[in-house]
Amino acid sequence: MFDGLTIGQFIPGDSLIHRLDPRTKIVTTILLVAAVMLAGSWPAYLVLSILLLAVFTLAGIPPGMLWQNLRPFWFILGITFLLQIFFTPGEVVFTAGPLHVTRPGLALGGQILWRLTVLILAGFLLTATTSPLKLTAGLECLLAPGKRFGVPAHELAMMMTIALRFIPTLFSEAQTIMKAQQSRGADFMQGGLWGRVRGIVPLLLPLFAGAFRRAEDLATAMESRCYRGGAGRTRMEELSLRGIDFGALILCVALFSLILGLRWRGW
Amino acid sequence: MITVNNLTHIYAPGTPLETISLRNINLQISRGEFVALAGPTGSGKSTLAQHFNGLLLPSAGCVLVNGMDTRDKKKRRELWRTVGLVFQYPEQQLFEENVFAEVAFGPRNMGLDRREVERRVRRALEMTGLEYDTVKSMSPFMLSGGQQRRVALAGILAVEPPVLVLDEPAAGLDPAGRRHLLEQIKAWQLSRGTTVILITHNMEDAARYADRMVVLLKGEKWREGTPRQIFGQPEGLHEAGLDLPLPAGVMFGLKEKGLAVRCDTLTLDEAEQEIKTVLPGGK
Repeated sequence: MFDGLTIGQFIPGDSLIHRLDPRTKIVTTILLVAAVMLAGSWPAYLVLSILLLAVFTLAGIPPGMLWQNLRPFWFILGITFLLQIFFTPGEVVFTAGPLHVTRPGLALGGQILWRLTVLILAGFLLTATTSPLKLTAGLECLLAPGKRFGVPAHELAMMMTIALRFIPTLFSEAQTIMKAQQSRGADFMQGGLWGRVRGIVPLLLPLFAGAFRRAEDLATAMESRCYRGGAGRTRMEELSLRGIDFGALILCVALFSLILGLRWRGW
Repeated sequence: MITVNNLTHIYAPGTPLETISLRNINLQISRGEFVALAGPTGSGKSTLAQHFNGLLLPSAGCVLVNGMDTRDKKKRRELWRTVGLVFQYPEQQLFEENVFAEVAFGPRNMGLDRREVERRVRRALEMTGLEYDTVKSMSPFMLSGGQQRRVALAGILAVEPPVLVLDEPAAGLDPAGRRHLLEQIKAWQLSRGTTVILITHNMEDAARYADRMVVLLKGEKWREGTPRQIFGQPEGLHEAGLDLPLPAGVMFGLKEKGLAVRCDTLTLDEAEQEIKTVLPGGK
């Protein structure tokens, strides 16, 4: 069911992209996402797509993995595309029974499909090239100014670290429990809707019980090492912005301005 | 009963995380045999175990159980009834509200009638040393860790599979609990003619209970034979990350000191006899 790889898996490497400061990567990803939302013309789509693929190539991530990460989303992508092409009014280009495919529908559907795909891939690029530890360190640093207004930056980052840390654990545990119940004849795929809902109980219950047990153990382990939040904590690896970080930031800001400019001109 | 032909298993093929976890394994297991599958952590024992009931499928080669190819989708249902697999820490799969329902999960999935389900649950629970009438309506989550382990084991025993695969069933139990559990499994094998495959890195257990041992190392079959044959040639075992059982270990130590003794002693009595033969005066 889940084939070894999980969504948002970190892929270790030593590429230029891997070595960028996590803060740079978070900020540029946000800029990219904003640019994708603003983009409204073919040249803009093209520029952003090429940029994304170029960065993936630089990061040394095999193209097959992009597809693997998109696969779980195909249903959502397909449904949104179909809804757009059928239910947007305009000039009809094709009729299938009671449904009409319209020209503006095709354009809108294509645009949404492209936007979602790029968003998913941008998220994947960030998590694939940044270790969870660095990711949360970067996030904590970026949230730090908010501390003055009561944003618990350290706590949020710590919660994220723990959540990310346990995703693979829970995944492999779910896999083990599933296999164990299958060995007792549990069937997760058959039966009607009610049968399937009931069939999931032997999987979910032990999974939750295990998660609570782990949470308790973790809390005990943290407390017994005198964890008391962010005050006065140091890091093993201090973050530092270098030349390439500024280069990447400048490039992305320029690109974002370009897309914004195009948009302003009505493109 | 079980034939493994040139089995190779590759984890996450075609990605940077690709690892070969089993390489060219050939194995024959006969009906009613007690086989210990030994090897250090990461040697592929658990991966191999999951091939016996088709939870994992071979990347190359094949696994035949009772003549059924595990890759045959139509045989899935028959396969889980034939090969009962007890995972590591099986108490973590408990989910029902009482012990009876927990143990009855497997038999009910087989579509057995109520009386037969009850008979099997009773027998399985008593086989694992739990008092049927006391525990049947208790919540499994209220039991102690050791008792939970027994309930989980009973859940598989109640299916009464002809082949029982156990992945470190005694891990984390105290020595008495460990001994007790393995004795019960041995008794189940002898009384019912069940084929047992015990996965362990505890060499004492392998020596005590197994008819035959298969030692895996880095995903390959490294040695195969009776415990006596395996421990009779202890060279390299330590390097492979495995310990000798105490009686064999002592003799091996003596041999290295230059005494002409056999090393294939499996019990302390045998070791004592062997030492006497080389002592002056035979005492």
